[in-house]
Amino acid sequence: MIELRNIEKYYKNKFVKTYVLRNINLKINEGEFISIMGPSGAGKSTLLYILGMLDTPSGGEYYFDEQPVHKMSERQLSEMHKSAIGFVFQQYHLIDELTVYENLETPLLYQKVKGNERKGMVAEILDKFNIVAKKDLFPNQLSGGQQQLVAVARAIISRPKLILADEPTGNLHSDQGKEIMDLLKALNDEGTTIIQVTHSEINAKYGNRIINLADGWIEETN
Amino acid sequence: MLRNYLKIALRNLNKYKTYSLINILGLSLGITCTILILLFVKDELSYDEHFENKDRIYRITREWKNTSGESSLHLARIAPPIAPLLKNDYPDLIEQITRVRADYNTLIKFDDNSSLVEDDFFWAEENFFEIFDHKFIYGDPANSLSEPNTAVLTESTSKKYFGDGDPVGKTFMYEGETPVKVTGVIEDLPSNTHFHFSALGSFKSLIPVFGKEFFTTNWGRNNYLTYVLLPENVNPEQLLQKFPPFLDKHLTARVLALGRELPERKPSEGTMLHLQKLTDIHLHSHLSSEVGTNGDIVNIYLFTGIAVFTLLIACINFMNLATARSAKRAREIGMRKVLGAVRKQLVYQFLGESFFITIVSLLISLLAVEAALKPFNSFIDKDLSFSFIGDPVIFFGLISLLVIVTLVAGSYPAFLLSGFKPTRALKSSDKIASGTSSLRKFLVVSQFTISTCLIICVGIVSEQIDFMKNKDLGFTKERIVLLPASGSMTSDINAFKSRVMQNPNVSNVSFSRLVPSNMLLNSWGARRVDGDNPGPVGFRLAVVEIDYDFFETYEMKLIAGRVQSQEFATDSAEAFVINEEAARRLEWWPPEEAVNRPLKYGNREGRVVGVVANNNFESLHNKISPQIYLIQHRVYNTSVKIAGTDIAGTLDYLKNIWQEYRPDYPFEYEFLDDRFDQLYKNEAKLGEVFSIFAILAVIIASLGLLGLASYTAEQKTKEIGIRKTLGASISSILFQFGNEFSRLIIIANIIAWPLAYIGMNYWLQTFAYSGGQSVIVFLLAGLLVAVICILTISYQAIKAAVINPINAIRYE
Repeated sequence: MIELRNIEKYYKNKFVKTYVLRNINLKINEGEFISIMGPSGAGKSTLLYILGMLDTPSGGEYYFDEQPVHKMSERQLSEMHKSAIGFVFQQYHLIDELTVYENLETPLLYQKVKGNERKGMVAEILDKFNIVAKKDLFPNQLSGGQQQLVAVARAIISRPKLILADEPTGNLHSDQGKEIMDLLKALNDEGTTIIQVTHSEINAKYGNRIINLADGWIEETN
Repeated sequence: MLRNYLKIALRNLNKYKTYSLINILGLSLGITCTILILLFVKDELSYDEHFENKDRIYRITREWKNTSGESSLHLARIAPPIAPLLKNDYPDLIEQITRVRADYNTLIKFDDNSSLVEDDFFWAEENFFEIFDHKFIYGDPANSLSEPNTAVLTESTSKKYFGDGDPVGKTFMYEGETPVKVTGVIEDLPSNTHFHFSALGSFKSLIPVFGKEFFTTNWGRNNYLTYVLLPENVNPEQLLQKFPPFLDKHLTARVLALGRELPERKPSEGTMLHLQKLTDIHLHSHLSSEVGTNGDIVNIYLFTGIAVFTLLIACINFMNLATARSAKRAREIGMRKVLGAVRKQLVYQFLGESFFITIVSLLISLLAVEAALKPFNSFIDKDLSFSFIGDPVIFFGLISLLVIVTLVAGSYPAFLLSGFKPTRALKSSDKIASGTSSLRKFLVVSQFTISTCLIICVGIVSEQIDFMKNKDLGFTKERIVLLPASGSMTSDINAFKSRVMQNPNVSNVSFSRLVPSNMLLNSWGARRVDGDNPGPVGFRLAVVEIDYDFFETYEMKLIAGRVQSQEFATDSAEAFVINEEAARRLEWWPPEEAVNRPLKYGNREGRVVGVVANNNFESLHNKISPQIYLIQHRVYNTSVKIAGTDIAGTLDYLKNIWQEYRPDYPFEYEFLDDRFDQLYKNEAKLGEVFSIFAILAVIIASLGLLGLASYTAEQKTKEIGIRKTLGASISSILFQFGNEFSRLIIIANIIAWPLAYIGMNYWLQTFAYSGGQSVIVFLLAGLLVAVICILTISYQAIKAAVINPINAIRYE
């Protein structure tokens, strides 16, 4: 599903190039659950953002379902965001001014899903995540775990093929973290490809493959 | 989607109440100012635009030049023979030409012996209504002015004279003597026309009064407004080219007819005629003997500038507070992009938010304008009306205002923030906020630059007004009461004078044709008689006709010789007193040189008996002109100098005597110093308007600063907490806070001072005499802005400084 060829990422500072990622070659198949690990500053998040098409590599090629992502326009990329990829962040990144319901609805609005269908989809996801009672609350009225639950719900509401999670449990205590990880595992079992960045060995074990990054290089995959 | 945007906008407004209030309040104030100024400017630009022939109507004006070529006088009115001669000489270039004579304070009597004084009784030739279309309520425009002793009234004059109903055929007595028949009634003149009459008499009525010859030969009485209607295919240049040969031909003929010797220079070198487009008169014409008070295009620029600046300050607030909150909004933008939003959608969202705030502000402004219009009208002496829907100019003006403010105010988040890459927006939102701090500083500096400029302008304008009111004019203007008088009193003046002088509170009485504050428009031909260069003097020597008590009444200072005196019998016809400027220009200097010099002035031959020090007889807009004072016996103005303290009693006394001598006229008096203040009314008004808008601008800017200070305080809470745990004192934190803003104020002053100086210098140049610009005004303006600034931020600064460090650090 995903193929990275010689992906590089560097920042130019005056005349010095600072490499974040070097010579990344990676193949990910549909239905995998990948954990990216490594020390701070290894380039994990950058790799995740490149995979999520939020960041552009400085060099190399990126194929998503055999389509060249590195050649896509802003509009095409935003199409991909709408239809194929869901994101979960450590800081949840819910929109503070919108209620749970409205946060869930937002991606559907960008996809121009019609009103009735949209209502149905939001209702279904609220039900699935057991948060119907919370639909009219604002993010700051929820606990961290609940917020992350909404964020996951929002990420999957448009049924993406790929979910990218950047330390999804980083701000949660262990019970809540486990709940989120179980949820991701369940989604993976339903066929969604998942790539997560994590520091936690326990969380990494939810995946079927671990990619270790150090100083921008892939050290080993197992 | 729209609902989603609207929700976000509303919830943001609600959540950040202070910011929203500042934005909406500031914008409402700014838009209100702009609408009011827009109404004013629109009215000023609309003068005489309603006349159907406006593009073809021109006014003929006349200018005189000294031999040196400099302009000595430019009158808005010209001599009576010019119009008929022009029409006769160039029938192809002139479709219609009409003369208008403006009389003021005309006594009108009615059958029942009641009387009133009409302010603006004008006379016009019968083709007047063919040039200027006025709507007739009664009567027929075609022959309404064709007979002598007929008049057309305006609707309100008709009501005043005869009550409701058709007055055509009724009569009233002009100056109590001549019966005048009403032939028509026109609608009241709109306020936006450059000349206003309440009644228009037929020009033919004037012929028996002045004599037929006067209108065909008198080139010296330049007292007739003359309007020409050009044919469709003629451009004004064509007529303009004909003026010099026209003047040469007729003035030469006139000199020959009088049996005088031809002057050396051609008549057209000494006097010339100009054409003014009708619609340019109100804003562009500032000639001597204008028929009404004109506006000034400079003021239009000034006010438009003020409107733009106030609005800009309000928009800057908006942008500033938006950038301050950009960190938060950046995260939202990042997330929306992750969810699939494209940039265009985000641009729409943010513009939508600023549109929403703008339209709310606009609605508030509409109410504010409605409420402010009446006081504004009475303040600017106009009758502006405001209709949002009915007036396409206003409607489209406001729509474009809405669009412009939306774009300017919303530009930062809409165009800059929306361009951020989501990773940047999500990861480093704090850095974005600090990156905008230099933009914010720039914006704050611009606001304070504008505010400081406006305050300096207010200071300089009021200094100049003070200067004009308090300058030593070279004569006394206090405690002088002016009474209008007329020829009808001439026979009784000595009796009148001695009666007035019997009151111990009256120290002097003088009769003169002009009094200080009048314009010196009249001059006769002056000739040197002796010396090396006999012959006409090469400049205009303005005449002031006076009586023997004039100099004493006005306490003008004599610097050589003596003033005219009744002790010398020949003084009444042969003694001239000139002013210092005249002595210099005649090269009779030092002034003692001038005494006893023979001089021919008009048809008087005599000698200069004395020289008076220069005085600002006219307004301080005018340079001191060369003047000559001579004795005359007709009464025009009476100046009564009051010595005692009992001013009210003296006025009563004057009133009683006045009513004995001029029973038909109401007793109307004026104090000379009030009259001088009137001369500077426009400047005084400008000063007031400036102050109001400057205050508003400063208020709006302070509102913005308040918002910004609270944001800074919020942002620095953690930093302050850390500093305090490291031992910083409250005062050092306050100092740090103040330091940041005071730098901005200093920069604003550095920019504002030269700008204001240049602008005010330009304005002061419209005065012949100015008090200059004092450093104090600049320093005070800077100080004032600094104080306002400190007061504005101090609350937030103190609140932040006294915070408990533990709470501050926990803030995150």
